[in-house]
Amino acid sequence: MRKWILNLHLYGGLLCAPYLIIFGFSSLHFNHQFGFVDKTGDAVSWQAPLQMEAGADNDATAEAVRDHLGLFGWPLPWETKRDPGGNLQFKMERPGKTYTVQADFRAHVARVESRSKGFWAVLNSLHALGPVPNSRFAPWWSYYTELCTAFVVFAAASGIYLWMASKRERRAGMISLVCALLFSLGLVVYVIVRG
Amino acid sequence: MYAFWRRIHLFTGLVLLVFVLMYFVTGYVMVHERWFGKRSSKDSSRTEALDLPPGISDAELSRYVQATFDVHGQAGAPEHRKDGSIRINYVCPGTAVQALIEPAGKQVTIKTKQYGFAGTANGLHRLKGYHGGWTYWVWSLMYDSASVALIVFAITGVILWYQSTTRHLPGWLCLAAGLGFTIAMILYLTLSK
Repeated sequence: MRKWILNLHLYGGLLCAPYLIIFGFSSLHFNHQFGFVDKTGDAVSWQAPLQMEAGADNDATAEAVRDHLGLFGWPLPWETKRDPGGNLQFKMERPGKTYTVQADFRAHVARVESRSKGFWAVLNSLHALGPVPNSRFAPWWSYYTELCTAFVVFAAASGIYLWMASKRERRAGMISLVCALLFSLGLVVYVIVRG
Repeated sequence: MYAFWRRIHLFTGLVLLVFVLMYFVTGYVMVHERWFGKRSSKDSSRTEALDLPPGISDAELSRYVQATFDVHGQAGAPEHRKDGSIRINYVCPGTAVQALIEPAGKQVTIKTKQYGFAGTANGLHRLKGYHGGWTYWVWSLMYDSASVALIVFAITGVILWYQSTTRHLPGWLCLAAGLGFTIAMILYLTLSK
């Protein structure tokens, strides 16, 4: 039994190690707003044929244009506007890139300007990345997140079990655990009740 | 060296157990918000007379409103609005308070939103920043420690695995699977058009 638990602790940890590092780094960024994370790259412009008709609804049309161009992400409704000629301009966000899309339905062409957010911003966006519209691959990250969340809970329980089962550092470990439990739980309760 | 890395791994885990678990559990509640009930709130509002000391600074104003009207939470920076009113937000897990001081400075309206379990979990997960009093400094320190601990767990865990096993192939496969998937996701998000 102990060997099974140790192996699960060990190999589960190796599987989830990259996620833990990313989660740790992104959490630090949320608390300190590192300047090097939020840098955008130069704009890259391109255009593509757009063989589709404009819909009546701006948001639905923006999504249709996105799908037609093979892009993935969230069109921003508050950055979506239509000119008197019926053409649509919208901005779109996704982990790693921002887009400005001009859909010219008369000329049947879409002009796209994209800006890369860079490596660190992508790393940061993996903190809790869920499904991204029109992306088949991105949702797999949420399964990895689920796996790693379950592993962390298991690792905590199994880590205590493995430590208790071995006779090393029993006294110092027990003192550390009890003091830390009292302090941490006390702080959480105090912040909720008294703020 | 094995004993050294083992102690780092063990004691980091024992000391930061609650905070590390709290962030993963509250994160799970946030991701599966629908399972744990909506973050609807119970709202209340009250208006009070205000007698501000002359020449009060923004930091003193935040503390004055908190102390005078028994408002809890981490204070945000007072926002001086175009109409001359001042808005201050106070946040603690499960409760959000907005104090709106009217332009003449003689009256304050305090709106309170109280959230249930999901809202409290959300508040615990998002609470951060070295401001708002000693409680939040300590909280932020624990937050940073838990964040660093995750990186420490990963690095010391890999070292401990390598030093404690003789058959490395299964471990390399697990590490390669996690690392390969992560690199593939980063490349996908970075290089997709």
